[in-house]
Amino acid sequence: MTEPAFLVLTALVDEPRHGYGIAQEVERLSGGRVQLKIGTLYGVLDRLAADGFVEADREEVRQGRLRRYYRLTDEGARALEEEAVRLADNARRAVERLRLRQAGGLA
Amino acid sequence: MSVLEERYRRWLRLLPASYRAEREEEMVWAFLEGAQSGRAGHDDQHPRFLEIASVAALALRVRLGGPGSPPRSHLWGEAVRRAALLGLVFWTVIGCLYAGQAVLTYGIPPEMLPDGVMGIGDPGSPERVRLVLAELAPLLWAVALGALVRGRSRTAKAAAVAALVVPYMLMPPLFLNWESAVRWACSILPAVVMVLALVIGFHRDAPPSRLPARRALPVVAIPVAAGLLLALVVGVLGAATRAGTVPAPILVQAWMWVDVPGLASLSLLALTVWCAAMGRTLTWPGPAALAGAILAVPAVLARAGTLSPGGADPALGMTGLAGGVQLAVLLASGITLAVVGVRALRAADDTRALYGRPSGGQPR
Repeated sequence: MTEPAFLVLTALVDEPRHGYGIAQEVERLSGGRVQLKIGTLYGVLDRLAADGFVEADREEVRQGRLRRYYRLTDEGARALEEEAVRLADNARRAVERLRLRQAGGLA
Repeated sequence: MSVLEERYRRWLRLLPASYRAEREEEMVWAFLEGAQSGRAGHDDQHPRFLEIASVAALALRVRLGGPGSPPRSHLWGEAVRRAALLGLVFWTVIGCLYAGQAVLTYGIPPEMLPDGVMGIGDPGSPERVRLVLAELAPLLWAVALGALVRGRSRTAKAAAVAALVVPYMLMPPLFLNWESAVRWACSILPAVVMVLALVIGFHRDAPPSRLPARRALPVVAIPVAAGLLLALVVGVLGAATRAGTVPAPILVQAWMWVDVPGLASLSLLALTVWCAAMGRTLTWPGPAALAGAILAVPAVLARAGTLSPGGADPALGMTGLAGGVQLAVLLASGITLAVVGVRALRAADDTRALYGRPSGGQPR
């Protein structure tokens, strides 16, 4: 799973969001490091929808303009959890080894 | 509608109409919200370059789609990917031909070189090393092909770009005038088009190109063997030319059929015959035919770029004759393949009209 896909799924965990709302949340989650362009965002949403990880939630018309909201599916939540556990395991192992190195164990 | 919105919508036209029908309004709204917050636009007039680039990249992925895409996008995607694959097979033959020639010419002790074989620079000199490396570098085409059929498209792209660029970095072309520059540009077009097809066709959403090792091996080994065999043929032709035992007109014609455009014309003729033979029994020559039509365009320009007005020189007249035949073969093959490809595209449109968009998510 790519980092933008991971962050988009994470952005949808708490509530359905529309396109710009997802882009904003991804930027916030990544501390400003990942700024999804609109073309990139919809490319990621297409892939996640094709995999069944997100789906359209509802549509709203505001000021005469369409806003489509997306929500995380159960399958998407499972995929995100698996990826999060995998990343956390990797991070934990890295931290353990760094601690050993600092203690002189692997130096 | 603001100027910024109008311009952004203009860029969105890069996307297929069916995709825009589904997504244009929400993309515009998302973009304008970002622009209002100062995120997406530098000013009120122009979308930022990276925004445009993201739309262009999305358009490429959607237009050259994978199995879940609308039939027309899938067909174009398969066509571009086959153009890359067929092109890589062809350039692997050429790479092995060049490498074989380099080994035949420079890989044997200098005193054993036949009279009349001349290289650039003395053995061991930097000039000689650069020349030999430039002629061996096209072996990277074989590396690219091997990586592609084993599913490593990133490695394949890197190797293909290196195979295209490295020989010219080692031996930069010399341009005497604008005409020689144009001829050189025409000569590299077939490889450039193939590399472009490789880079844009095998995107993140494309189906994996991995073949089992048992099937991948012959895909690489056969063109390698063909290239080495051709190197021997070229060696024999070279010996005949030096010996002067074969009449010049025959030799001139023969040389014309073993250069890149000559071999391309034979390859595309073979592909055309195959597509015509299989077209009535199978449904899948469509992508291969479109791929051949794509590859025929630069091949025509490459052949045309090597021809000169004959005038009174009989040798130029002979090259003109062989070149003219090859141009005719390339044009006939290209047109036939394009016709087969267009029929396949129409069939894809009919399928879409009958069954509509594939279900399961957004259009891709």
